[in-house]
Amino acid sequence: MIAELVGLPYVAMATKLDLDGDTATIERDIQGGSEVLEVNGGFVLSAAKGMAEQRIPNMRGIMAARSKPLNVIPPSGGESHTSVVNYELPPAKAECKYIDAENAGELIALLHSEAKVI
Amino acid sequence: MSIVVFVSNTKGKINKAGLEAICYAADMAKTSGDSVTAITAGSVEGDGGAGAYGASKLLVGASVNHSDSTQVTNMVNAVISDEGASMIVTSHDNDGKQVAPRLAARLNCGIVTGVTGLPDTSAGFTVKKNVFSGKAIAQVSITSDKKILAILPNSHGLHEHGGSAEVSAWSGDAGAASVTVKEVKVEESNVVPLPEAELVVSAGRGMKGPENWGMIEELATELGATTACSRPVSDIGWRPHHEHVGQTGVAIRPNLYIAIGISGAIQHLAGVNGSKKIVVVNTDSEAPFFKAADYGIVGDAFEVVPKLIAAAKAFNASK
Repeated sequence: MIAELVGLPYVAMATKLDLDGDTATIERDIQGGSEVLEVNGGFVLSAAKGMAEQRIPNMRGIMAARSKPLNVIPPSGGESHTSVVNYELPPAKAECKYIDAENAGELIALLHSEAKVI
Repeated sequence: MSIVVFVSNTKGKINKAGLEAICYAADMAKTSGDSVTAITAGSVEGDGGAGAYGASKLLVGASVNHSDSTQVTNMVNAVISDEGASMIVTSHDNDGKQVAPRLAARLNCGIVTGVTGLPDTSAGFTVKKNVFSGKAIAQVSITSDKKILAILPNSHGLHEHGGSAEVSAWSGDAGAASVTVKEVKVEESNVVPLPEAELVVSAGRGMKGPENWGMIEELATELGATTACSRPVSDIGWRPHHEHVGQTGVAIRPNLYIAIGISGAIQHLAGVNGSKKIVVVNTDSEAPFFKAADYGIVGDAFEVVPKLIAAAKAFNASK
């Protein structure tokens, strides 16, 4: 949405990003594999897991951040088109059925005859 | 009026998640009396399966790059105005995630992502989606005239509507390319991609090392399942990242999820609690995963898994 509002290209769920001057090389997962994309100039990117190592802030950084000014910007314009009507809990899970480890093979029969998934 | 469905394709076929979105739209159209127009970028063979799942028309934008969200948005937007459509459906997969929100901003309309059920139109228009990592279900209402729904893969399921779609080329102008594709790496394999898999065998740290994955793969092969893993396993590099299921990895909803040597931390459950049947194998009878399981085996994976493989082989032989 941000990309559309500011009129920039958008790449979703990137797993790798390399910047070389004005050109960005981005890797992204697609159906059954991945693809490498190239974008010139500004763009909006959403990152998937694995793109970067997390950096844990050190104590000095945390203390320094406390004294930084905090600018609160009020939201502007835009009407809301959706709203949550209510929340409900998912249906309760039935009891777990235990199978003796000695007869683990029985599971396959149960999955076929009772659960009907294989 | 028509419902416009954007789908992506690989190797000439519409992806399963896309067919599911078409199927969802066709089920919606049955009650509203609309028709379903599917649209895709690139190329597909024939109607790519769109007709069988309920689309009456398939538009193919051959010159449009499916990875270019700007071009795809332009194309879908043009089709929406040509068709006078007010309902837009996509899959909530990586391609849908690039297009659906853009389109919502362009059309200034309401969007719900990760939709898990058909809309309720008895009072207004509401759909259900999973929230709080699947711990609750929210009913969301859309009030704008145009509406966009991004369907959570494997939540609606596929059933044939029987029919064929009239295929035509989309010849509009999608605008200049903003992204160029340098390379596409699609693994040549017969294994179903994880987000689409109906049967999944997953293993965790309980396997003790990557060298022990052979039996997991063997069990998966016998069952015709796809393999997956927990986060610690992909973090320490035993398995590739794309196999990681959980809150920060892939969220899946297979018919059967077999978890071996995974304790079932809340972050892992968030990615799999939509599975229809869950089997847990763990040495620790107190593992939290058993609370979410349909079937449990308390035992050592190194003893249990070979028994499962033998039973699966016998079962396959008897089929």
